[in-house]
Amino acid sequence: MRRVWFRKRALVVLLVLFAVAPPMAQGDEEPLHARIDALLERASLGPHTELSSDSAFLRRAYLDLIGTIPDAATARAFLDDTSPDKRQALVDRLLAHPRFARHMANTFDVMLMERRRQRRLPGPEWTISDQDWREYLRKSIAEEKPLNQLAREILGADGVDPALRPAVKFYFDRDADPDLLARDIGRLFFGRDLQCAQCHDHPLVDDYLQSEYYGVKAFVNRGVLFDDKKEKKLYYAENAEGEVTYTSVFTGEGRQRVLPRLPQSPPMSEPVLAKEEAYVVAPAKDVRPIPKFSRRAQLAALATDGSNDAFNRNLANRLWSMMMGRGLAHPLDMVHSGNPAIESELLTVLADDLVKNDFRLKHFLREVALSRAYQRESAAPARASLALDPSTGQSTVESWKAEAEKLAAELTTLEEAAQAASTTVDASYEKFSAAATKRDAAEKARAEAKKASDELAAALSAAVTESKTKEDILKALVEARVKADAAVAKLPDDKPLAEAAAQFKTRANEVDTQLAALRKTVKEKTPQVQAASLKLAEADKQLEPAVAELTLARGALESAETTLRDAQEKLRVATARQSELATRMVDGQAVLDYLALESAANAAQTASQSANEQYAAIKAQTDATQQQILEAEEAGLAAAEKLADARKAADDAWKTLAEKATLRFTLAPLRPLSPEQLAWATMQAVGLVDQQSTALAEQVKKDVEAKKDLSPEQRTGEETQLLEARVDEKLRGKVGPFVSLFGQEPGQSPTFQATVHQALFLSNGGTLAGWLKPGGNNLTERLSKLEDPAAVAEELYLSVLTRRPNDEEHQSVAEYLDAAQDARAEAVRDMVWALLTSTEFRFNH
Amino acid sequence: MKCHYACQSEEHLLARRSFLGTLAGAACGASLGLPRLVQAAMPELAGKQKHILVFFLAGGVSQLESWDPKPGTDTGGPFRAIPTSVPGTHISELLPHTAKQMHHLSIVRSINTKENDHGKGRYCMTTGRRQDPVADYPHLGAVGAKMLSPEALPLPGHIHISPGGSGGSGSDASFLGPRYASISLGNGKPPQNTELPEGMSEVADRKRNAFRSIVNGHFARRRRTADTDAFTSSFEQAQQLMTQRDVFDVAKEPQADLDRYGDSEFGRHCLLARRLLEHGVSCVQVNHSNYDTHYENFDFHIEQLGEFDRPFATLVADLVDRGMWNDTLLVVMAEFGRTPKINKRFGRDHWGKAWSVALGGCGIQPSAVIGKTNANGTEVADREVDHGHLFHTYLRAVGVDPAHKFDAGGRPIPVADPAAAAIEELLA
Repeated sequence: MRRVWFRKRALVVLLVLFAVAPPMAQGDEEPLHARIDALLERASLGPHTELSSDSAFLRRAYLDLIGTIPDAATARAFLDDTSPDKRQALVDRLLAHPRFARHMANTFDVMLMERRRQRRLPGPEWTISDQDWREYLRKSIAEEKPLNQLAREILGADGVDPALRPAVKFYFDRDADPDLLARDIGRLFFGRDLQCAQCHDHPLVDDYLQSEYYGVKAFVNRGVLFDDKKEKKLYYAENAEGEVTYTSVFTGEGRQRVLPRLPQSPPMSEPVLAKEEAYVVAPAKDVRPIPKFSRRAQLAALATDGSNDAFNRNLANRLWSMMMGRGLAHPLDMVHSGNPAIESELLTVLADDLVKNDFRLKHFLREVALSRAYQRESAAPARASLALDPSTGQSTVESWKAEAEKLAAELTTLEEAAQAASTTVDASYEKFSAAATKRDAAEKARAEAKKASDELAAALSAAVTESKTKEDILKALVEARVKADAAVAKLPDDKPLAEAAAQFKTRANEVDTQLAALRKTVKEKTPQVQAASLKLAEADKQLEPAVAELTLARGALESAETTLRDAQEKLRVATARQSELATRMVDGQAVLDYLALESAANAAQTASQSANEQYAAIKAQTDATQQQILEAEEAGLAAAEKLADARKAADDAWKTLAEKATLRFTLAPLRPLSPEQLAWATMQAVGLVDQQSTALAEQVKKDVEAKKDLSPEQRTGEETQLLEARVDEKLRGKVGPFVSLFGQEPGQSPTFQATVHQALFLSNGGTLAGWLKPGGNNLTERLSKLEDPAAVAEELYLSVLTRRPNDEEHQSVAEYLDAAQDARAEAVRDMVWALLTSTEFRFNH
Repeated sequence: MKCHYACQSEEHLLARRSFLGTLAGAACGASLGLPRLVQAAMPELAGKQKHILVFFLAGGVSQLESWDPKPGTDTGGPFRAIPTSVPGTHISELLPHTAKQMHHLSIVRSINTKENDHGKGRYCMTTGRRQDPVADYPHLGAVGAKMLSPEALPLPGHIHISPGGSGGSGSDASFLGPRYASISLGNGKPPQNTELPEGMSEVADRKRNAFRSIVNGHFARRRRTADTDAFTSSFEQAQQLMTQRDVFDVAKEPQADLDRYGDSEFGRHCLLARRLLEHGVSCVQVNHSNYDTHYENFDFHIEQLGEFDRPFATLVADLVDRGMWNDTLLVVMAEFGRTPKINKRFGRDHWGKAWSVALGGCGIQPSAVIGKTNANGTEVADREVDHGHLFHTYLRAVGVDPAHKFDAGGRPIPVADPAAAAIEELLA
């Protein structure tokens, strides 16, 4: 009944939205989760699975929101709860759980650092430990810091502010390498892996341009790691100079000055500063430079202020993927117009909602968790669930086709506009480049004039000072001479006195000569200095318009780039829509093909049946010839063969549909647990987490009691928080082996790989074997104490697989226990092991 | 040419095909050059499984004391050059046993990697690419393990034999993933976790696994995907590996062979390499150290190559005798060579500018000498090549298309650097 309603509704929505109303005319008042479903369902002809069972939902929500599974008691309570809104209540409970922030911190850590190894430095105080970094993320999430703010802190980090210092790990552990940073910032914050655009425009992706790669690089190109040897600390500092240049290895064209720009954005505005004005603290040996205008601060601000589409969509896509196992656009870092979101309007809606709600993580995850898309069953759908009328399907596919054709015409116009804008940009760049060269020349000329003028002025001033000194000396000498002459006149026979007087004269003459020379110099230099100072004034006069011209040219280039970006954006959106429609048509056609094959198979069934009946009838005839019987038999066989072929074709087509439905989120996928989820779920299942909780609870209670002025609620809240933190501290060391065996290689995207080493670790390794030894009221011990096989089965399945066993499973458990006879503890241990190593446990389903 | 994203990745196609169990339905096959793809990705279709055996002479063996001697020159050092089984080809007198096997081997004497740092040199030589902070590439052994191992092989496809090998796995597979990372053996220890846990009998193990299969069967009725199949089969492979633990135990080889390879650690490692290859392991690397002879180069080379020569030559002869030579590519490499100039401490320093690699077996022309250095070995005089050319050559030799593209999280990455090419005249 429900299914029929659902299908009809989907078709109605589909027809209304496509044939009549512009997409998403209604719906803004609707909650996000309802819009998610409306958009996904209108783009698919089927099949759609029902909502999952309560136990599947419980396990899924636990794993996705707090990274582990519930204990048996919680599972039992949830399954027995009859209130209609229990799923929503569960989601809210989990979002408030202290492990929520812990799990999200792990998830964001893996997303941003991709299991890179920590940078090695002389001492641990130099850099950021994994633990400090995760704690920073955890606290940010626990405090419900908006995600754009978190991103801003990370992108803008320099390690100076102690409160934000851990955020600089993103730069540290990438060695501040500008190319690696350009690539990873592009991938992780904008969903665009521009690496292939490093040497030329991307060969396969139209909208990954070389200029875009270098535009991102220009933001981080001036960053340098700075070792503060006194403080024994590392910082991420920034210079105020250093241009990014590139040349295409294909075309030989390039740029000598790349303006910093975010993907799909116009270039950043930047004041044109003269060199000596560019620093707050100029770079020098053992001095951390601080520029007046930080490009990186601009990167952090511009990316995260809500106006950058690529940033918003990337974040929405990544959060969606955290819950759904796959991005709407996938792979997460290869989003472009040729590989758009499976439903790009939905991605737009998600991104807009994220911005509108201040980038609040909990709001976003909650809405996704409440959607039908999230709650769907992961079991392969029954064929009967595809209740589609082929003619309705056909007309839907036709409507998509019509839209695609209309788009194709528009695309040509848009391409031309983009081409024209690109030509304007090239011309503007030439002017800008010329202006920059002119400015550089003027700056150089001014510097030279200044140097010459300064030198001359210094020389003149030295000559003037020297003359003054000499004048004083001369004056003294002349006075002395006059007095000496007077003395000589009085004592004409005093020879030594006469000699002394002559000395005064000689000296005075000497100094007079020197003074004359100096005066001459001063006289000569004075006009030179005047000339130089005029020249400097001239150079200043030249520089001023050069700077102004450059500012103007830069402005013109920025505006041309903005026009180009707008044109490219329109083209990109249209191209993305075209690719999206193409995929949709292929998928829709696959549904129609399946329906045709299914009906052909049914026809073959009828034909085969009638051929069989024919054969039976002929055989029953007493006068039938051997020949007739043989012919009928052959006809029957041929019909059966045809039927088998037709069935197989229909079966294969159905399997394809199931895979396609997974990609369209109308069938829940099977997702491998992350190494952390696997470790924590295992520790929860075997009873290790509960064991630690019990052991630590008393001390936690005491510690909280010691705190004064807490209300009873606060006290409880505090206890929960503190206990979670203590248990985590106690057990997190055990996650390591899971990470090294099940995690991706450093710097790589996570992919699922089942290896022999993982299987050997789970089968024979000491870790799991140790946890399964009965003791400390762990699962094995608890189960061993239960007499009733039915109770064993229930507790076992609830503890490990978060569901009750069915009859068949009850029976297998009973048989296993029966066969074990006295070795009951071992039997229980081995059954726990088997469930822990099952596909049902390994995957989130 | 642009291809629709979903079918751009050849890996994806292959995975799908093997999942569907059919070669049909490759809609985009034409644009991908499907025949080449199939040939490259499934060389076992074309013939017997190919193997790669690398000898890594860690620290940097001296080319002048091995493959490119320059006796009687200012750089030549005290050793003579001796004739080999290839008329006209001489190698250092420190390798008398190897000299008798040279008709199976070839030498490239004109390598210039421009790299004098241990870590970077090793990276160049084992991945075929220069180290780059932006992109990481898999080790030759990881590439071989992925491209050459039969899908169902339970043994690890990529094994490194080193003194002190712990049985643990390395981190050298990059985007190919941990499945192809090297397992380190050598201390007589098998790979980790290949023995049942304490207190677990074989019967109980069988029973618990049977129960696991029932649980899995139940789940498979709900949903079965390529991932769930891969997961369940990893346990089957683990079981098979456990039954084959002896493969890692060189003591199981006949005493006569143990004697022939000699009573040294390196001798046992060579024999273990033979044993692993015979049991189907795709890629084996034997590490021999240490050749980093900044002091007393000549004494050290007498000692090191003295240990190396006989077991190595025995292994070459064995691989030939046992009919494995045509399916096994053997390479003797290091991170770089050593300076022609002899320093004040009678040592030679790091030298990536003009040095040699020896190789042979599968797909390689025997008895060839490619390129040459000048009279006293200070420069490449002819046919300069680097790590990129060598890497292409190794791949071509074992039938892997160097242009084949791996799928690294959605990005197509060519197996070998497209900027380089194979040394064609060296290929058989």
